[in-house]
Amino acid sequence: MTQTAWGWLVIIYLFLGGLGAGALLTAALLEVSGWRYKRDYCPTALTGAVISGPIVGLGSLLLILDLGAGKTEPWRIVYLFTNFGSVMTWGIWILTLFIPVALFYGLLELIEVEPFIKGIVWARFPRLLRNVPLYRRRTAIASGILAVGVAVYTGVLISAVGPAVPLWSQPVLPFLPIPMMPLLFLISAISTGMALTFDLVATIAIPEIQQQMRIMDLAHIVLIGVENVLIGLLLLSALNAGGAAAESARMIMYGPLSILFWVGVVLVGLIYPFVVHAYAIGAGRHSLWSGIGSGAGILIAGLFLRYLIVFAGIPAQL
Amino acid sequence: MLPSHWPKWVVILLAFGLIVVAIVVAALSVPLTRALAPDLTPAPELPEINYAEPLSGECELCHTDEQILQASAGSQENVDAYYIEAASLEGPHGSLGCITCHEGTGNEADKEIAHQGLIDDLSETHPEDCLLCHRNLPDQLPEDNLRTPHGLIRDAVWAGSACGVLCSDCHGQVGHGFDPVTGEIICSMKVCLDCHQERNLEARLSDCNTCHVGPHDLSAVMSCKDCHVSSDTWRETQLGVHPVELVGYHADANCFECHRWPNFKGLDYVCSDCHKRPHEIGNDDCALCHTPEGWAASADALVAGATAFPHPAIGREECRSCHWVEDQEAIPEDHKGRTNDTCLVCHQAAPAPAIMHLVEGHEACLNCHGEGQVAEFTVDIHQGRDDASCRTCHELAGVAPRPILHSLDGRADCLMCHAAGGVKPNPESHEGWDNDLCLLCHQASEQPTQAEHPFPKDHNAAASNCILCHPDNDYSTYHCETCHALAGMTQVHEARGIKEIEKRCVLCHPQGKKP
Repeated sequence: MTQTAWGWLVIIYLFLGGLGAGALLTAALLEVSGWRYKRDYCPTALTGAVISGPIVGLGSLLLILDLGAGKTEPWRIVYLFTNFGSVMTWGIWILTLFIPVALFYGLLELIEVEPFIKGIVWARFPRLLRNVPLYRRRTAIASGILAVGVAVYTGVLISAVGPAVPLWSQPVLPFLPIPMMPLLFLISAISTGMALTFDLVATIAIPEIQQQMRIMDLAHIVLIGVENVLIGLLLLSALNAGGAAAESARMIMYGPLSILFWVGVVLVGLIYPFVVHAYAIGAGRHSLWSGIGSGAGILIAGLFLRYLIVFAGIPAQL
Repeated sequence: MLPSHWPKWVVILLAFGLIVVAIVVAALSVPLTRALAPDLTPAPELPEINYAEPLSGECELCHTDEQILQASAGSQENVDAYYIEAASLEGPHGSLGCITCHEGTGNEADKEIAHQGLIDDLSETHPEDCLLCHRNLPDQLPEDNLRTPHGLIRDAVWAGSACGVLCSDCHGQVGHGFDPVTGEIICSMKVCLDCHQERNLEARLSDCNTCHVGPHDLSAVMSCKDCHVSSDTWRETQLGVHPVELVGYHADANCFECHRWPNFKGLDYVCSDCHKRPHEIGNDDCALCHTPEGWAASADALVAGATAFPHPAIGREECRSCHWVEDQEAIPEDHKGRTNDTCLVCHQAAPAPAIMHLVEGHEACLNCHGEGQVAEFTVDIHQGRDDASCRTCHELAGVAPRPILHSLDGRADCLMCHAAGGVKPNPESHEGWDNDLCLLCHQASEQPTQAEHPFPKDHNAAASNCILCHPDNDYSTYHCETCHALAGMTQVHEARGIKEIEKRCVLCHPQGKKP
């Protein structure tokens, strides 16, 4: 019997939280590295900066709604800010800090592409416009650090419940007692963020951008490889642990979640994008549609992965 | 790809749109893929329990306060039955909250309303609720060597049939401080047996093997009850079937302090099975000297009771070369396995009196020391001894009796002078001995009598030391050179014109003084 406490609301929070953090990290990386300025207009940086605050905020709202009291007495969320012995309090603080900083970062990107907003800012905060690149760079760094926290927290949240659900508390390696989930979720977050902002949005907006930022192919190869290893280690570790953890792993690999895992995650989210990006590195290019397909695969596989982990969570047996 | 006249922020909408599409596609894909995928183990559909700890405050308020309970319970018996220790609510079951298991009406102060729909024993009415958490209850508890009916109960619950056994039959009020599973509370086996008998369960369900998984593989030769006699505690055993009698500390020791777990193998029932010899002497047959009733005391008693042996020990360390040799010196039967190095631990040397006379010419000891003879030995300890065995214990003293310092001519009656009160009385040890015995020990010599010795016996500190002048007891001559070197004397005398002085000293020095 799998756990029933967490459902789609938490899964979508895990997905949106990771996606928002990953998208912002991608934008911040382009900002800090200067690659963003290779073109006058960088849809990846724009999308990553603008969507991250709202979707992480939306995800956090879903998280609150998932709580029983969140629906009836949402003000009780305040108590979560003061219980510093709980990792959830750390997460609440990280989310609380991240969302406004990310929104501000998004505003600084929007200023560049939307004269209407630029006019409003000019009218209210004229000094801000004089130093937009500087503010944007600093905000990118600050929000990038917080984004790592947001992405890691999605994994910490689930691994903190881990002792009750052994699959979620599996270590990175049997002799390395660091929980797997934060690391796996961080890698997956960056991967999905890049897929959305670059492979999908940027490619659809400016197809030739793929030829101009070949570094993204290499980044995808590395991220997919690491993610592949981590998922493999997670399942092997769970099988080796026996009990509920092994039951979870069997459920994923050849149980009711097996098609979703092998097709939705492994084939669509790992193998296909890996082949596409490996081909692109070798051939120096890939087609528009294979790039979009790869991005779509990685994006939806990120959601499937979180669904699998949450729904395959079998409580420890008493 | 996007039309160039579209505003650039359209990509943001595109991103949001793609996210929505991804979520929708995932939501649609999941049921489809799950429907197509194989189901590993068709687990029974379990009901959910509403976690109702927040609704249980009113219950806890009454049931953890004796005064409030007394006000409504009616009798002390009810108070005792329904009172709950507040601390028990901190336990795994107590912290679930009363309403979670007992239902009723939550957060209701009115007793009647609060108790509406109350479930007294959850395992009686909703046993499947217990199995929500306790799904894989073990059929055996190896660490406790117990066999349980969990499998039968679980199957019956899932099948919706009654099996006659409730969770609470064994686990009692698990939410109210009673939790035998933790090991902090030991449930007596008598409780189980009484319950089995009350329910008239078939006879085999009262056998040990019904609940216990015996750790010993001895069922072919004995039953559990041969040793385990108590229904209160498994550790209480009787030793009636033990192959050797257990005494002393062994009677109180746990079986496996000596025996090897679990099948009692590896013992020869000798001391060295467990004990390491703490001393070098002896061998591993500890029982030769020690008894289990008192390890040190028994050895001390042996030492205290041991007799001395009447001969020197030095040079005779190989005791058994004489003792316990067939037909020779017998030793007690219980000494049979003892080794030479243990003899002296108990037995001390107390040598027999030394022979104070010359043996040459007196080899037939019994002629004088035999029964009824002139110097009769103590009969009881010398019974059966012969001349050959005397020297085994009695050694030569190394001194000869004083020689007779005068001629025997005309002096055959020794006691005339040497009897008590005589001119030269013999020692008290000689009391009762007559003249016949004297010459057995004392040798007559040619030593002159006092009257015949013209030279002063106390000459210059000679102090009657005869051999100074008469080496080898040769009284036929004298020998001044012992003190007065001949060469020196010759030189001194020749300087004065006196020659050939050897053996002629007394001619000029009859009193040992200068002329």
